[in-house]
Amino acid sequence: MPLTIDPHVLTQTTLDSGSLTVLAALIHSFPEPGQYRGVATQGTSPGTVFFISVDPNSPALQADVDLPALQNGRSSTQGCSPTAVEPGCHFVVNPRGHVVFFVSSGAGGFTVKVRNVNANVTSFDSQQLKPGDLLAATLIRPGTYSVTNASGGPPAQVQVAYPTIGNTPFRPPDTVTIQCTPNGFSPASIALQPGQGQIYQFAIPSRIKIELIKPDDGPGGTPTPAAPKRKKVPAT
Amino acid sequence: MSHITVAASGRAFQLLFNAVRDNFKLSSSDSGKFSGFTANYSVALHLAGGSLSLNDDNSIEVKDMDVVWDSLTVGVCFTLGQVCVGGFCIVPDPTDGCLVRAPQYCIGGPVCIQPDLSGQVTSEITDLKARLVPLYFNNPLRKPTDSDVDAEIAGHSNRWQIFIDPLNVDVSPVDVSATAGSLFEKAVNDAIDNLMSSFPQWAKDLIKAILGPIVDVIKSALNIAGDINEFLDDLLGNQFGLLAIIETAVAQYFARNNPIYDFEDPFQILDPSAANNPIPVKIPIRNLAVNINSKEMVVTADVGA
Repeated sequence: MPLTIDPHVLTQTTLDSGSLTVLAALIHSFPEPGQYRGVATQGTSPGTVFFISVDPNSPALQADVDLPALQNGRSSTQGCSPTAVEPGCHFVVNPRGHVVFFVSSGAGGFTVKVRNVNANVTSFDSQQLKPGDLLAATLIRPGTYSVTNASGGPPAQVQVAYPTIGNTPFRPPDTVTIQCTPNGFSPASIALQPGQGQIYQFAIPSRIKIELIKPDDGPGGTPTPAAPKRKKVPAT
Repeated sequence: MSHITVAASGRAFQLLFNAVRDNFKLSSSDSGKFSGFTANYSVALHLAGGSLSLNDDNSIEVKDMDVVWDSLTVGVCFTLGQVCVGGFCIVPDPTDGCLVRAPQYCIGGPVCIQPDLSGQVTSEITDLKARLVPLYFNNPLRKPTDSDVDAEIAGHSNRWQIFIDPLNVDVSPVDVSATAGSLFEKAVNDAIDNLMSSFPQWAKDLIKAILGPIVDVIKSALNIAGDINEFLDDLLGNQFGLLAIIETAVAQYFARNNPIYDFEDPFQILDPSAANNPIPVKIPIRNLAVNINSKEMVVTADVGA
C-alpha cells in the first residue's frame, strides 16, 4: 500500500490567490457581526453556496472553509453544519476571528465571493484581496519562483532550496511575511526552505500569482524543463 | 540382584545423546499486535554442541548447547508518522500560541518489512539437567492375538525406551546481532523508498529530510528506547515468548518423543537358525532400571516370565 498523499500537493507549482489550489489559503476577517452568504466557484461549474454567521457570542476565532469539501457536500467538514432552512454549510466565527479558505485536496482552481446578506455588499472577493486579507502560501518544490501581482508593480523572486537530509528531522524555519505595496513586493527577493510558510499582506487590492520558473532538481538531479513562458495576450 | 546389567561408558552415552540431539528441529511462527505496531516471525532452529557430563547424583547435565537459528524472518508493520507541510501560524495570539493556522498537507501510511535475519541470532541452552527414565511402550497396533514373532514381523513390537527427562532447561536470552539491527533499518529505508517510488526525487528527499534519520523513525514508531537489536531481542525472546517455546520444545522432545535408547520386548538374544531354533529366541525384559554415575550409564533388568 503506497503512502497516502494528494498528488496535487506534489505537482502544484503555481499558486494563484484568485484561483485557489492546494498549498495556498486565503484569510479574511469579518469584523461586522451578521449573516454572510458565500459562493465558491471552480472553473465554469455552478457555484456552491455556504453561509457564515459572524456572531460576537461565538468562541470560534478560526473557521476553516475547505472549498472542495463544500462542493462535494461533505457536511463533516469542520465547522460545517447544514440547517433545515439552508442546505449549504454554515460556519460560525467571532467578529475578531478569521475565516480560512483553503483547498485540502484535488485540482482546486476555486474563486470565493462572500456578501453581507443584510447590507448586500461584497465583503470578500478572492480575486481582489484587500488590506487586512492574508494569503498563506507553502512552496515545497525546490526551485526559483516568480511572484507577480495582477495590480502591477515589479515581480518578486522566491528561491526554494533543495532539501538536505541531515542528522535531525528537517523543520521549516519561521514564516516569512511579504508586503504587497504599490511599489511592488517587500522583500522582493526571498530565500526559503521547502515548506517554509509565506504570508502575503496587502496594502493595495491584489491578486498574487506564484509560478515556478526554474526547478531545482538537486545535486545530480535530472534537469526538468522550465515551465513554458506564456505569451502575453494584448488587452482588448 | 538383577538378571541383566548393561553399562554404557561416558563416551558411548555421549554418542547416544548426540544422535538424539542432532535430530531436534523446531519450527515456529506467530504474529501479534503490540503497542503501535504489529509483528510476526517465522523461525527454524536446531541444537548443536554442548558439554555433557554424567553425575553421581544419578543425573546428566549438558551445558552451553547451541541453539542454531537456521532461518529467521521477522515482520513488522507500523504507521509512518505523519509528515506534514503547512500548518504554520498565520495570526499569532498576542498572549500565547496561535490564533489562525494554515492548513496542513500530510503524508502517511503503513510501512511493512520482513527482513531475513537468518544467521543473525544466537542463543544457547546454558544448562539442561536431566535424569534417565525407562518407560514401557505398549504398541497400540499390536493385536491381542499376535505372538511376539507376529508383532515383530508386523513391526508392532512392544518396546522398552529410555528417555532423558529434563529436570530443568535454561535458555539464555536471545542475542540478536548488531548487524540484524542494521538489516532491519535498511529494510525500513527500502520500504519507505518503495512506497515513494512514484514520487519525484525532490519529494523523496524532502520527505526523507522531514523524517530525519531512519533509525530515529523506527525508534519513534516502535517506542524503542535502546538499540534496534535489543528491541528484536525482546520482541522474539519475551514478547513472542520464544525462550519459553524453546524450553518447552526441548523438554518435550527429550522427555516424551525421542528416547535415547530403545529396544523391543521381548528382546531377541538369538537369531533364528535352521539347525537349532527355526524361530528367533527372545526373552521378556522386566523391571528395567537406569542409573547414572560419573563414569557410565548402567541399565539393569530382570528376565521375566
